[in-house]
Amino acid sequence: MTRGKNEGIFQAREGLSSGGIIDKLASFFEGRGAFLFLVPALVLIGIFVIFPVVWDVYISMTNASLVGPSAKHYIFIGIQNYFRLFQDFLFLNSLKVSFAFTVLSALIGQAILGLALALVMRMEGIKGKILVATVVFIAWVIPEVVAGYAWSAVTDKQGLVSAILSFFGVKTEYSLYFTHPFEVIVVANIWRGTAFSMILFTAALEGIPRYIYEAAEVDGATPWQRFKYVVFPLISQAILVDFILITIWTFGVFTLPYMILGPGGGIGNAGQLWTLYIYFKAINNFDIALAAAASNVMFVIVLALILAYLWSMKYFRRW
Amino acid sequence: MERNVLAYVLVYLFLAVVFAFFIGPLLWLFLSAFDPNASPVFEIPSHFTLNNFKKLLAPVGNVIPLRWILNSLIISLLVATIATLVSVISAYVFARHAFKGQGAMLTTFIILRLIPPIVIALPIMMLYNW
Repeated sequence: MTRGKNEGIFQAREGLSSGGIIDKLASFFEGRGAFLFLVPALVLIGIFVIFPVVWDVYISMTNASLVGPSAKHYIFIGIQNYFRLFQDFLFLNSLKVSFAFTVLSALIGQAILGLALALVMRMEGIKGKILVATVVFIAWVIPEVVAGYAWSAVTDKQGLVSAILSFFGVKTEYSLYFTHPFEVIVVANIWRGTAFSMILFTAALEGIPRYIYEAAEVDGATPWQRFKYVVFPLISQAILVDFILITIWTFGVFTLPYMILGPGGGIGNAGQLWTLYIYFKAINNFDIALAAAASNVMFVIVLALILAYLWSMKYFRRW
Repeated sequence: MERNVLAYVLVYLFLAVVFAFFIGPLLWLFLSAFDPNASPVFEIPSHFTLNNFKKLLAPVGNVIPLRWILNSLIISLLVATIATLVSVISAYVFARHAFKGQGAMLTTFIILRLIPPIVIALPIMMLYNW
């Protein structure tokens, strides 16, 4: 019997139940109580993540489709869908587009603009910087659907961007999301996500004691030297965290490009990210099995990205 | 001193460009909402109207007004309640108890949180589409 330190409690319960069932239950829970608390979370994850992924693996090895005869009666065909997937020009194109999108939009756009804004926020005597930060922040907190809607309007052929371009003498005959789908989603995603990097870097810069910065200034360091030798080393861990998080988020973004370009990703599929590709194959081409195969391949790639993230965090901390 | 002035001018120029870039789409949204004949064109409405909002409140067919907001509200409240309850008791265990595989399980939870939803959207749609 697992009696001892809780004897008093169990005795009190025994007095109430008189049969000792509660006593037995209590001693059962005592060793396993910790795990039981996780059961609700594990059940939810099992239903909504683990089981769907397992089912996805199964369905990717069949000839299932969204409609038609093979929607109900599909047969097992092995790994043919994966061969089909890697021979599909659209899939390879979507991988290329996604990587370019992530590098340009997140790593170059969001991170650099966010860092520049965070540095300006740290400067003294700049009027209106809070107003700018607020607007950047609003772009981040509004629903993604609203952001997509606004961007499809401003990049319309009569929209704001065309108006500004024609002011500088650049004539636009068609809507920009029509002629430059990739560029539009890159810029829209920079607009959407810069606030996160700005906030993260602002917090990291706040962590630097001002006297270190001032000491460097007294020693005659130029602004660039102060940034390179004082600020940058001190926020390098924040930069790593930012890079990894925005990479994972931007790589998996769906709603914003979907709202602006639709599942096809614009002319010549120039803006078709892999997220749009999965949607396009499943909903527009009814090819559930191929979309499931693509989902699994991307699941593995994203998992590798996340594990690289966790590993580099660990490595960096030791370093 | 002159260097300093130049730096400030550059900073303000940078802030102005960033401000214009970020306010543009938001301002269009705001202005169009009050525009009697809204279009993608970025302009100040000839006169401000609340008709667009009235249209939102008007019932469509036999659907009650603002049903769409109600739907979102119900889902959000349910999700927030269930997620908070479940995560509070899970977090309690992670914080207060040590058990085998604790680190691995916590890592798994974080990994699952970072997976893009579209990866599991398709099976969820097919499996739980009643």
